[in-house]
Amino acid sequence: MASILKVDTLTGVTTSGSISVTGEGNSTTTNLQQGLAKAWINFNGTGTVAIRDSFNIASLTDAGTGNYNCAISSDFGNANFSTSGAAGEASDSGGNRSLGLRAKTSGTQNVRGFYDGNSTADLPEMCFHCMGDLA
Amino acid sequence: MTSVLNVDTIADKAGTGPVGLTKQSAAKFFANFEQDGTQAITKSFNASSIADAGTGLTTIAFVSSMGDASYIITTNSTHDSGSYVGSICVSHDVPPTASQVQLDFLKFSEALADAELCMATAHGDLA
Repeated sequence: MASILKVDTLTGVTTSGSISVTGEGNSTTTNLQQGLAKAWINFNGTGTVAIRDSFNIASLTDAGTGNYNCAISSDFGNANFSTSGAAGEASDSGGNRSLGLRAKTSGTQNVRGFYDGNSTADLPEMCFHCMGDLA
Repeated sequence: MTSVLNVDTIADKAGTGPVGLTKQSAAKFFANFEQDGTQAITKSFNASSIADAGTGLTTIAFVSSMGDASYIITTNSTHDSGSYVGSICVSHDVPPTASQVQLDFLKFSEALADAELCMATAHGDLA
């Protein structure tokens, strides 16, 4: 019979911020905390920039054409976290769009929107997530 | 009443299999690395080594292998003002295996280049 454990908070015993979980192949373990995204955001970067949905994001600021500053609510331990993301369009209007990474600190991530090469542009679909160690 | 469970390892009831995380999954790998100069990992999880496979080409090996090569990789684009802007791509010529992935940085001109602030995340099933 399948068992379900209902709990609000999980904490490591040996190290409070470290819990191992068994991998899908049953032959190895992986660290639960390391595998969790610590921040993510989906926002509209056109017009008045607006967050559609997010996690651990305090604010989004329009810093110029295709230039966005995101503030993180609970900071990372340092600026070495890993960010991956993508940019897109709301309808099929041609061209290629991408999300580029710029300066970041333990509590901020600046990203740029690009349209067809080197030109920064305000883009309607901007998404990224951050992996790493929280402070 | 709020409940707190203190535990070091979570496995299924038999003690050997994975548990389900309700409506969410955990990443199995991520890396923040530099291609400029001597290639190096700045921060990673489940990465055992980094190898320079040529200009703009990086091979990263996993500590714990994936179950197969069907996992997904998300990467970033990078903009170095005045130098380059481009994207990190999964290599078609050297496709991912269960134990490693080759990541290629290409400018929008499609020329390979060594880039800074390269990042990738993998989701899927471990072996």
